[in-house]
Amino acid sequence: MTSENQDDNLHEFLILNWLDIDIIINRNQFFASVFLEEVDKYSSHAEYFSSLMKYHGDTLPVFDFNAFLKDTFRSGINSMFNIALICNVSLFSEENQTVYRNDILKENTDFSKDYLALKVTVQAGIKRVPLSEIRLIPLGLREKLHNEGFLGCRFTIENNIQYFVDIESIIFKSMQKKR
Amino acid sequence: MDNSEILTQITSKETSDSDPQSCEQETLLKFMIVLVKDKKYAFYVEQIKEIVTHVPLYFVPFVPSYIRGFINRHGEPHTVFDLNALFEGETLDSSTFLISNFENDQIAFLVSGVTEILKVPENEVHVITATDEHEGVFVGAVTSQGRDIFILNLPNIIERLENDL
Repeated sequence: MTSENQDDNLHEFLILNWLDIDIIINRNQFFASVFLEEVDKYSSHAEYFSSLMKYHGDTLPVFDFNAFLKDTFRSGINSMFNIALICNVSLFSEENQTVYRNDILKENTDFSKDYLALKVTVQAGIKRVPLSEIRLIPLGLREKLHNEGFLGCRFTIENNIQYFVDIESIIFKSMQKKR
Repeated sequence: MDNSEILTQITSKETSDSDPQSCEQETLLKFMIVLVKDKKYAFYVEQIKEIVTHVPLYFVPFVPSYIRGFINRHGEPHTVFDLNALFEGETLDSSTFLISNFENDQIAFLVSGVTEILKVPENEVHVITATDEHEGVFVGAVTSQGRDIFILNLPNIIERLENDL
């Protein structure tokens, strides 16, 4: 299934509702999502990696995106139900794959070499968004926010802001911040 | 006075206003005087495109506290500087924004209100000689009602953000 439509400039995004802010993630950055009922704890030196889950017989490290959003926006949602987005590590840059192999995979030899999971709240949905409605971050803040994984934003007719984020940048930036 | 007389007067006033001979060699500079909490600051009027009030202010992460967030102007995000937070270290409670006229960046300033438009002969703009922690953020001062009002150096304020990030 393609997530792009060249004709009307639409692209599929996952939209996470985080209080009065939405987070939008390129649909191509993950290939599956599953309800996250049980996770096991593990000890990692990398920020926001603190649990693992089973997926089709593989053991996946779980990046707690909820905790990241809670820290970033200084507010939180305590949802009892979460989903895990399954990301294919081979889609990451060569440099980031190397960091991942040398960092997270060394902490637990059972971890899948191919996949990792992202824990998000269930207040989420896939939506097609016109790319023409996404704006770059204003110039003075652009480099800083790009480095943090925030690539752009969009204003909705409901007067909300949606931040377009790159989950690969966010995950690997967090791995550099040791606990 | 009928309408034609009114129009004549308006026309003659506009003509005299725009008559370069009436200014002789004196150039008038126009400033927008704003109130930020209890202090007044001056912007060059040509640096400000629009004044907007009561629009939502959206939180932006990873920025200094004097960046209060984004506002949406016609679908475009504008970075909001809080001048009170920048100069006094205290956030300003207001919903009045000045939209700047910069070509390269979308910037707005949070102020308490606009008090007046001041026309000042160029030779009456004072140069600032004092040095303090805010050195560089003002380009000079103008006098209104016996009080000096600092003129903001917007390029330097923006440069400060670059250094703080």
